[in-house]
Amino acid sequence: MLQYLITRIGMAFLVAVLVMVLLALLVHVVPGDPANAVLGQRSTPELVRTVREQMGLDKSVPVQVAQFVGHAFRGDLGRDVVSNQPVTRLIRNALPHTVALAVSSLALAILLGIPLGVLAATRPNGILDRLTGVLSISLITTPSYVAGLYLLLLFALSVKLFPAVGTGTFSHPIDYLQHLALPAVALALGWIGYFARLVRTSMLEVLNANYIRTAYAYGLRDRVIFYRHALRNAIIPTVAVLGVGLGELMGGAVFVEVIFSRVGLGSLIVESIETRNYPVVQGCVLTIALLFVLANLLADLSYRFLDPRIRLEESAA
Amino acid sequence: MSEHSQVEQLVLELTEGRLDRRTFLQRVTAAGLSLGAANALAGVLGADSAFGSAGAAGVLRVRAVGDVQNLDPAFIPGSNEGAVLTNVYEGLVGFKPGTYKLVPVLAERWQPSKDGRRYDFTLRKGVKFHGGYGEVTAADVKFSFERTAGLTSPAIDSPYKGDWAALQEVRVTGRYSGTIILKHKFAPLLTNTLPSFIGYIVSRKAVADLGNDFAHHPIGTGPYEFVSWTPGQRTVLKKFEGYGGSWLRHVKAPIWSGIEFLPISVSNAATIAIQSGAVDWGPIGPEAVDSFKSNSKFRVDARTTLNYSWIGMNIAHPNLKDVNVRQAIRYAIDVPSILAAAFDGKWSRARSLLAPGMPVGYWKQAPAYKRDLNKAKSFLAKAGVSGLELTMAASRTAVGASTIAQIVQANLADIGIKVQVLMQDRSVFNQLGGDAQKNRQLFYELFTTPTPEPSFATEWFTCGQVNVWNWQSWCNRQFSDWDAEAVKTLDPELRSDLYIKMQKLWDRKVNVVWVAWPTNYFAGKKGIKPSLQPSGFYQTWDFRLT
Repeated sequence: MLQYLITRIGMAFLVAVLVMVLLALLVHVVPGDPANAVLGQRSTPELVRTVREQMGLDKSVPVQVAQFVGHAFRGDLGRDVVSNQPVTRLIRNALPHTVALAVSSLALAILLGIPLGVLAATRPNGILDRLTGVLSISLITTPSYVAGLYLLLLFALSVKLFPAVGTGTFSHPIDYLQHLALPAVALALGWIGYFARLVRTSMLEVLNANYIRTAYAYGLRDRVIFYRHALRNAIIPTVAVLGVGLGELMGGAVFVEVIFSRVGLGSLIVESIETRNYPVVQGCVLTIALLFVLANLLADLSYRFLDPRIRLEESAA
Repeated sequence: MSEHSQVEQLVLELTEGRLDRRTFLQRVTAAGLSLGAANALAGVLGADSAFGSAGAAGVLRVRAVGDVQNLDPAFIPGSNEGAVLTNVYEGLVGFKPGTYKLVPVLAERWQPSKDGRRYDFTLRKGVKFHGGYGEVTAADVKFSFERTAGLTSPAIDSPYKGDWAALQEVRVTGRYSGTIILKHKFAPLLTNTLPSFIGYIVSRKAVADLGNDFAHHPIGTGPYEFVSWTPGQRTVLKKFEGYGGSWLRHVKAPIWSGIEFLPISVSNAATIAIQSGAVDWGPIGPEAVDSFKSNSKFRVDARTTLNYSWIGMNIAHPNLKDVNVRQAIRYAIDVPSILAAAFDGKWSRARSLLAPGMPVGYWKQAPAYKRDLNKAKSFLAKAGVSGLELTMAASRTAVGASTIAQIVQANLADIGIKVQVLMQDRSVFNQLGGDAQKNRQLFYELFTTPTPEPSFATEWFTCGQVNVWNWQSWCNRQFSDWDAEAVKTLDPELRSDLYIKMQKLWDRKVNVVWVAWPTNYFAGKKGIKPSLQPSGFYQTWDFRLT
């Protein structure tokens, strides 16, 4: 187990370094001049030179890469070219809101998607199964920004149940949750459908297993069989995708944050990409990548924790 | 905290504008007060809010198109900051709200010399800076102007130092008096430099004390002082209790207890935010105008800006060197169709560079070229060109740009020119000089002119701007000389003649197709009367309730 843990952490570290190098090279791969974009109509060759110097773009590519990686390891991600704020401060301000959005969306997806999948699996090919099938596919194929706009129209404009824009502050939790509700639902919808399909498939496979037949033979109640015995095994593939899911949700938050005018890494990236504000883009993408790596690591570890067969196989080996 | 003191605290936050009515009601009821009593309490306090009625002037919530980035007047990146800073700062002079009439603001008296190179000023006494930074003195004026001009030591690299290029020095002659001394006559001083944010007076002490933080903690003398900036969420201002009243000689006292700017970049989301009451007022896109106009709860205002958009032709490119080819393109492009499709018919057709609202230099008789395919084809035949292939670049974020590019593509196909559309990120589209300029052929661009100063519009098209912003690569010595002359001409009629001559000359050289003089639209609650300059710049501190 310890060796596995060390290997996985080593891999995660390697991925992080690779991401940093690729991000440092991003400036030279993507077309567009950040200095002109930042300066806009007031751009002059003299000012462009100054901005390029400030961004370190006047140095050679290997030096830029080495500097970015070196500084990143020391927790220095540079300064926002426009506002002159440290990028770490911008990330510190935005990250908790993106994490709150991603985690609450994931929680919603789990809470609604898994029961929906179980429900569909109880009567395969029945009306309920078909209905949940249609619902799940519809949810999966609805982009979060479309869902977001409809939720805004319905619950912020027509019913006025939730605020249309903004983020709120953690110091006012009720207000914060009200601001979080619609974006979290918009982001979760696709994953509700995905989890429902995933759990249904796994459940159907597990329900055909011998031990389930034995459980029926013993006269156990359906509810106990489904939720205590079948789901416990059927959930393992779902847990495996949770890590990927959290990473996806962090990335997918981009559209939702922009539509709901929420603070977050997504909206920060969108604003910065347009102006080629590279220090901010690099810092935000690096943060998301590291969280993605971390979430996958945790998912892998929990997967092994949930499935005793893997531990047994490892011990036997 | 006891329930009683909790309610007291909430009442305080509500009256100071730190809470909206909705949040106030939630928290007061959570603290044990009945909803009815809480509602009554909010009513008695006259709380205005995004979700409540605008019956009394509480906090005004304004949609900002984007978040603020840098609130130092010497470095502000754009209009989002300008909208905030008009509440916080004041200049020696300014445009009276709603007009282009120049009036003294921080200046008590204001006297230009006969040769137009010296401007004596005397400040109003006792005007205080925010945050306890003391009284405004002539030394602050000197510091503010010379700082932006790059004349202080160490010099700062302000992108606006060109607007102060004519400044020799500001001579302080007394605690409240001084003289602005110019190297030469400089007409934009009174139409752009002094009345805009470039002429704002900052506190020398605050700049020194705050260092880098000054960019996010502005200290001015305006009717509202800066409270906080939460990145991506809001910029909060509150009424400055020690306001020196410089504007009150021209308009009534501001009414709002506070002003908040909420960044909402997506146009559709902004429409929903205004319609739902999450914000009280804000700029809207042309596509949302009709829905607001048809709703009696909202008021819509419009101002034709001094901005201009055009389809440019890079005459340095071999494909566009021949004037006959450019004539063919001019006659083939259907501008009215572009206006209808790209801007929902809500923007005016541009016929030349300077818009009708420009006090100096508007060319009233400028031609509006009609689409004429026969003429276009004959020009193309005269050029002896066939099977021509061109590229057309546009920024993907420019309003209507994609539609415009497609219409141009279809229009030019009608005369046998094949157009490849290149929709680009702003940073790619804005690349200056080098290969970017060499490869540029057709392009669609929109430039802003924030103040009623014609040279701000013409300066980009002079010889000195070739390989910078003059993407047509059109260098005409006469045009450039007239431009330089107009900047030093103080007589408005003579200036006007020069600018009209420049536009006529440009028109004969056929390297642009003028598209639009954009109109800015604004929507808000019916009871809010905005204060808008003729070009659409809004001064929220002067907004009123009707």
